[in-house]
Amino acid sequence: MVFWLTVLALTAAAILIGFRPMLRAAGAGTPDRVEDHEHDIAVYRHQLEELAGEEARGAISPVEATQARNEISRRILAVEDRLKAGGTASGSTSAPRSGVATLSLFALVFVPGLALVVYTGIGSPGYEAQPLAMRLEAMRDATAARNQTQDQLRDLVVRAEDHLRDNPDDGRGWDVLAPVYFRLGEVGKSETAYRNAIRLLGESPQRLSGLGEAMVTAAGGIVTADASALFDRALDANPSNARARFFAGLADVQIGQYADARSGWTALAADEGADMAWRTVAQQSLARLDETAPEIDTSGRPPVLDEATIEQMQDMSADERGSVIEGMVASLDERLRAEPDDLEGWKRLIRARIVLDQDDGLRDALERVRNAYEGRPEQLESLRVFAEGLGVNVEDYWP
Amino acid sequence: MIVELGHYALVLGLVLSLAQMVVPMIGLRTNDARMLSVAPSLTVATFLVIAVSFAALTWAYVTSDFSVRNVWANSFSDKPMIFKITGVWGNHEGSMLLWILTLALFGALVAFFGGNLPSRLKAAVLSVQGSVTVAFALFILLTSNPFERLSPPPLEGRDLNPILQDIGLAIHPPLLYLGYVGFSICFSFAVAALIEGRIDAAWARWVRPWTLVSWVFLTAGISMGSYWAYYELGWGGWWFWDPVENASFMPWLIGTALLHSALVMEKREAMKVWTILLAILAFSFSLLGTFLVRSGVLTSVHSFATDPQRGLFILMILVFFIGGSLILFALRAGTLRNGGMFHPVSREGALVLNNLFLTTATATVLVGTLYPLLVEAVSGEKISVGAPYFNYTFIPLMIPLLMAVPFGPLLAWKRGNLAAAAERLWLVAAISLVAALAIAWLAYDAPVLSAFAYALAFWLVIGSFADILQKAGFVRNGWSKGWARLRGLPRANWGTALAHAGLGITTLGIVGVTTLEDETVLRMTPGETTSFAGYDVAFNSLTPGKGPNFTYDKGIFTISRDGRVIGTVEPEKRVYVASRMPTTEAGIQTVGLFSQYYLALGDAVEGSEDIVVRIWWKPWVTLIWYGTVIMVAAGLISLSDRRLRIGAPVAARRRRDEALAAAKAEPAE
Repeated sequence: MVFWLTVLALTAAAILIGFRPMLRAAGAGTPDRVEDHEHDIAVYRHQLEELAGEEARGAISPVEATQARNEISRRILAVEDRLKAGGTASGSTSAPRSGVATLSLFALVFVPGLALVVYTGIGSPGYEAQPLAMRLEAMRDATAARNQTQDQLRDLVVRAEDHLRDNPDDGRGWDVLAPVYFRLGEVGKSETAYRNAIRLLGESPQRLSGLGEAMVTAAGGIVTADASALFDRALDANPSNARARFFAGLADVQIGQYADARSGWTALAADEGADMAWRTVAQQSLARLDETAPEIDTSGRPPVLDEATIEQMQDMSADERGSVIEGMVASLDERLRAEPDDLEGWKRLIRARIVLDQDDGLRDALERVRNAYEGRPEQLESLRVFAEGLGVNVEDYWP
Repeated sequence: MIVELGHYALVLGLVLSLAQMVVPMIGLRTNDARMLSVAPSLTVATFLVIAVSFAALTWAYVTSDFSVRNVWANSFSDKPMIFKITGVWGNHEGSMLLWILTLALFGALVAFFGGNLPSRLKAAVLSVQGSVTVAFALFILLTSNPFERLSPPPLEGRDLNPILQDIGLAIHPPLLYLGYVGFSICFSFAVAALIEGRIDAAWARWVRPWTLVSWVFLTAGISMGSYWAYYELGWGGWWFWDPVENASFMPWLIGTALLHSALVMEKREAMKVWTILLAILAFSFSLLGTFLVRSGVLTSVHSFATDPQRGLFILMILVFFIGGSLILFALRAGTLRNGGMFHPVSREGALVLNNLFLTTATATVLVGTLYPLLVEAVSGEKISVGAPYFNYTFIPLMIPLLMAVPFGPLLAWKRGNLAAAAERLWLVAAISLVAALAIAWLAYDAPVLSAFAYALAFWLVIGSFADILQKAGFVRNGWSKGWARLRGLPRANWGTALAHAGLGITTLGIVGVTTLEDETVLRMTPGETTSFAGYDVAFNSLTPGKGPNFTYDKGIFTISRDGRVIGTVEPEKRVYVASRMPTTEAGIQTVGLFSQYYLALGDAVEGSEDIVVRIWWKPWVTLIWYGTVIMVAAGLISLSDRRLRIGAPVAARRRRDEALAAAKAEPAE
């Protein structure tokens, strides 16, 4: 609004300055030809005066002065001739009346209209200026506001902790505190709080899945067997628990059951009764899964992780990231001990060992897979080709 | 809001300049005084809104508003404030905005100072000027809009080309533009005169100050650009015959011719065709320069943008204005009535000669600039026309011209006496020759032929004052009267003498540095001392450091002669943070008044502490720029002379007697 008012003011001022002379009544009619010719004659008259001055100073001789004077006089005569000729010519044309109308058209319609039309066509009227200093300040403000809510939460936590120190058996207190801890990033305390709440108040799908989430986060994004069991229990009690449904999907991804994960997440994302935040996360994870799952065996990437984990992993140091991956490989290894008939699983394990450059682990995996598929040359051949694709000659390990 | 307001103001500027073009034109057709009367005020309004627009863009640069694409592409938040501001015109879009600001400024100046102009002529001039503004405002809005926005805005800009982060950039382009664009007024006057069909002495009187102003700015701009290239590019050269330099030099040559020919027209109403044509050509060459630089057909420091669409647009502007004005000229040329007649040997004749030489010289520069482009367009082969071409074409044309310069002011109007002028100049010639031989003898290793060049330079400097000394007439009138007459001389006379002398001094500098220059390239270790061109150079240290938006290695060198320290120079090699671009800052020590010791750091030698150092000895080099400063001062002095000029023609002897008799018979008016 302020912008358009300013635009209006600028336009009005420019038009006022630009067209002001048309308001003067004296300007009407044809230009004063006599006055115009006066301008020419003024030049020559000045030249004559100069000539007289030069002559007086003795800068030029009287003869030269006379010559020059004649030349200038001839110019004056020419102007006067032109004035006479032009005077009769212009006398016949009457003063045009269209002048004011044309001018008004220009001043009131053409100039403001065209300017506004062109500007709205190419400009970005609503877009405020973005001086860097102001933007940096706004960013600082946003960070400060976020810190402030965190501080308020921390105050709340401190008071709740005081209360629970005196009343450690207040299950509702633990129940309230657990998700707050989680938001503050204190995953260990959150886990404890959930356990206390479950102990005192009994299981509920909310508490079970919350505890599961805390455990997954503590494990660096890996759905451990314990956590997986919690989600299953939560889903038994309430099959529509969004958090549990999401993590169940994640657990499927981590054991390579992409089809299950995909159908679970698809259902969650489409479930209008579910919490919007989880539906969004499911949607994003699905997209990521579609991107990575078909080529997961050859891409060399770590197994698909949910957004939060990936984000966390980006913040981690190389060591921490390494240990998370290590943990995932170890759990895969363990699972394959229990269920050795999973060719895709073996391939993932072999690739992980190669990528991590763990020769002993690779030897171990290859020996176990040979035992597992003894008498099934087709599968063994496929593994051999797979390993060769990664630059490993299986014959070195299978003497 | 300010940014968008600037964008709107630019659009409003386009629309107002459209009105500035159309309304007075209708007024001229219908002979309506009211419509003619709004021409000056519309011009002022156009200027004001474009100034608002320019201020808004400057504000965006100052506050590092990276939501403006142009700011993001050419600025950096840590850049020193002065370079944030100069960065406004250190890029294609911003410099075009400066271009139309200057166009509008000149229009507004005509509106402001044009009280002595007939209303029809003034309206016609402003209308033509408005049409040029329209063309360029359209060009900006359609192909190079500096107010284009980015959303979301990036957090940091891409920084200005480091070579352009220099105080020289703060001054050079605005000066050059004032010169380039100043010729647009001469162009507008010429076209208006053709439209109005009035081309006479009074017209020349009115156009002269504008020519002079443009010429002064262009001279200063070119000189500044030359000095900037000299100290910033680190090659030690002051003129490269670079196409972009040529692009500014051609309007200067034509403008110089225009300046002289307008003089003749004002005094004698002669040389009308020359004057009108030169006025059109001067601005045409300005446009051509803009096209060459902006279209991307040339690659150089100045070619910020390479965009065929822009090139095509400017080509269209070029064709429209040059072609249109020349067609108009062809239609009206028949109506040009010749004014004063003159003998070939006369002041007028000398100025025709001057014009011939200057336009021919411009043609050689034009060929040298365009030929490589044509060859590339036709055969795809890249060739470069370098200094040798210009040395063999341009310089031979300049030598006779420079020799003729002192003669000009000594010849009378209409009918001169060459022998008499030569008689007055023999002393000058003798002094010049002695001085030149003395120099050639002192600098024993200078080429013998250079003595001739020195003589030419001295001839110019001393000869320029011959006219003034003759007017003072010390011999005839004695000292006191001579002094009085000298003081009484019109300032325009001083302007002429000083401008010609300035040209001589520049020539002297060019001759000096060309014939006596010395150069060496060597490896130096900190602590080492070397001897070059009679001076000792001690390499004290090489220290790294950090500037606001660059890191540098700074060498410290002490220059001394026979144990006496002349000075310390600190050449630098810089790397700019945002662009990772290295630049060289030369270390320059002026020795005496006119000579310079010039050091530039090269690359470090791998595996040692050594660094490559290039040293130049540049004798008399500063005279090149002092000469141009004198020329600029001379132009300003001449401009301050508010008197009107008159040319007193000299009649043939027989007719002179008759005239004298007539004068006696006729009593004083």
